[in-house]
Amino acid sequence: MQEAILKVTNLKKYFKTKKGTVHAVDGVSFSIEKGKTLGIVGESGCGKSTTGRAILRLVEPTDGEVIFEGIDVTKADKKQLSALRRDMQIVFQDPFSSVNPRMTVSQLIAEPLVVNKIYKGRGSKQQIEDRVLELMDTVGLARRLYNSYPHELDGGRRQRIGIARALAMNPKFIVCDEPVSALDVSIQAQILNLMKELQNSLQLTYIFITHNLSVVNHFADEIAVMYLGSLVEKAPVKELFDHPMHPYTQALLSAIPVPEITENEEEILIKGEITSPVNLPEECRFYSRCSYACELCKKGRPELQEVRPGHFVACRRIHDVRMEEKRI
Amino acid sequence: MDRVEKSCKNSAGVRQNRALAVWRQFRRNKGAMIGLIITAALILLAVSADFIWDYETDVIGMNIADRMISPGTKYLFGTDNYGRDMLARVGYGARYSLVIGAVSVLFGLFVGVPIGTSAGYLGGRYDTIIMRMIDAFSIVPSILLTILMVTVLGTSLLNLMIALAISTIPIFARITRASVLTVRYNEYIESAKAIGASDFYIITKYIIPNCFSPILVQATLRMGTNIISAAGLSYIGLGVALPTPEWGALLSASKQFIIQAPYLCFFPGLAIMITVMSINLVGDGLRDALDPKLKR
Ligand SMILES: Nc1ncnc2c1ncn2[C@@H]1O[C@H](COP(=O)(O)OP(=O)(O)OP(=O)(O)O)[C@@H](O)[C@H]1O
Ligand code: SF4
Ligand SMILES: [Mg+2]
Repeated sequence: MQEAILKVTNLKKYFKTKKGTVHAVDGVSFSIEKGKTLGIVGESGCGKSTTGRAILRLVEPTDGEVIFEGIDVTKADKKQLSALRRDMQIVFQDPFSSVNPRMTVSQLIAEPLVVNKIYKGRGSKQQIEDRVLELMDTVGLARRLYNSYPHELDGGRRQRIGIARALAMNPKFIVCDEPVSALDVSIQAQILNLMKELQNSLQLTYIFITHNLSVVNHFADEIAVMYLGSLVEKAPVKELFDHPMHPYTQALLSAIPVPEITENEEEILIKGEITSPVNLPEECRFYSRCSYACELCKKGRPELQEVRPGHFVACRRIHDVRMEEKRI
Repeated sequence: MDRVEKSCKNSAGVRQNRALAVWRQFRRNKGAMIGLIITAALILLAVSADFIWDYETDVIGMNIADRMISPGTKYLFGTDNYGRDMLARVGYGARYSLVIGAVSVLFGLFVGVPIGTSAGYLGGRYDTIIMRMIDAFSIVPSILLTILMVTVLGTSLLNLMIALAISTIPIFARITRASVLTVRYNEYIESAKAIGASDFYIITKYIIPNCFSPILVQATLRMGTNIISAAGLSYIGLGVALPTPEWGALLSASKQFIIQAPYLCFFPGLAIMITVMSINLVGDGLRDALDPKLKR
């Protein structure tokens, strides 16, 4: 087994708000091997973006460890952090709000090079220009767009700017925060293919955040399912799709439209609303919506347990759930 | 390798274009243009006052023979009870009003903008404490605050400017903070952070340019207000003292002659009114020209 490039242990991020403390991320642990992709899947508001941001320290984690290539990101000082930011990058969810509207395409892509003072002295202007053009080629932005403004471009091209910015410093690891969810379906596939190609050619490690399981289906190596700030299931992709075990994952999977028409695959509807992550009671977080819930589930929060090799589930009644799975 | 044409579209060019667009918009506004011309003329007058009049003889020197002459061909604005030419006095006075207005606003900016920027950018408890203090300051009407400060500091031109400046700080702090907040939580700020930009870089490159327009407009309008306040304070004897020909002080000295020589009050009053009005016209014009929502 290869060594993990990133190891996250018990990561927590609480937001203090007027309504109470929001447990946006509440004890998330996982690790990723070099060159692999971990998909993080979950409903809107379950803390996916916050997890990604906390890993990069764009928000200060409340607690926990993030070890990237042996360095604890959460304890890095300013200098270490700026070095880490070259290796760890992020592509944002919304390509419309994540680029500065006052800057041109070339200025946006050059910014990481300028900010980090990669090229110095005479000729640096030329070097930056060359690098920007090279990056534009890499992400498939036509060179004629060099001086365009973001508002002149569609979402897909804007997202390509975001990707070029992330790539500018030759990172090793990128958090892709729902990079296609704001795009037209026709463009989604293009961007996904681009990211896949980039991963292969540049040996990138990805965390791929999405609320749509079908997006990570042929992309991720491993999938972590997130619910209200914590992971409820984690398994290699095929394993997860073939044997989803957590009641929440099962519900998520049954919500994916399946092309062929089968009769017995009825959709398991999730009852009720997502509980808000404020002042949660000490019970299984999925309790109020789970169709398997019983008294047992009210006694504390279930931890992730390995039920099959590499397959972790956080559910107290996992054996009953699996029994039922066999019966169907 | 094909080079990209970058004829005029580098960043300086872009900024120039924007300034040009604002100027075009501004020029269309008749009132604003009149205001601008008058303001420019007043500035010219203030700068060249020493070449036109000699302070010792023309402005404060007495000439008892020519006392209380009504406006006419010899003395366009008439003379006062010491026989001083009111044209020279009022003209020279432009200097005081403009300097008081400009200095107090600049000082207010110098202190208020960093306060507002840091409060908006850092947020949290720092923001709360700073803004509470600013609020406490602003509960007192700014003219009362100024009076209080002049009383404490003593009356002089410098103290008057300091007092006006201090009462201007909260306004700039508040307006800066508000416009910082409108950009602060944009995702592109986070994106800049992610590529390794320092706070200093983010503030200077992203935040300040976004706050520039509202601050410029407010600064112009505030200059008008401060000129009025200064005149008012001089009028009640808390500002510049006679024989300095500050307009408020001139008004104050002339009020006892309002029946027999109303022109003594009329010209300083008119000067204050015209100055403040033209500065306000410029401010309003700037506001309209800079507001992208009003662009047709
Ligand atoms: N700065 C903040 N202050 C307070 N609460 C926040 C803040 N940022 C996020 N939250 C809350 O934390 C929770 C998780 O937010 P997050 O953005 O991580 O969700 P998400 O899974 O990325 O959702 P989406 O799919 O909508 O992007 C939400 O309940 C959100 O309201
Ligand atoms: S522990 Fe209970 S409530 Fe939670 S998911 Fe399992 S069965 Fe449902
Ligand atoms: Mg999100």
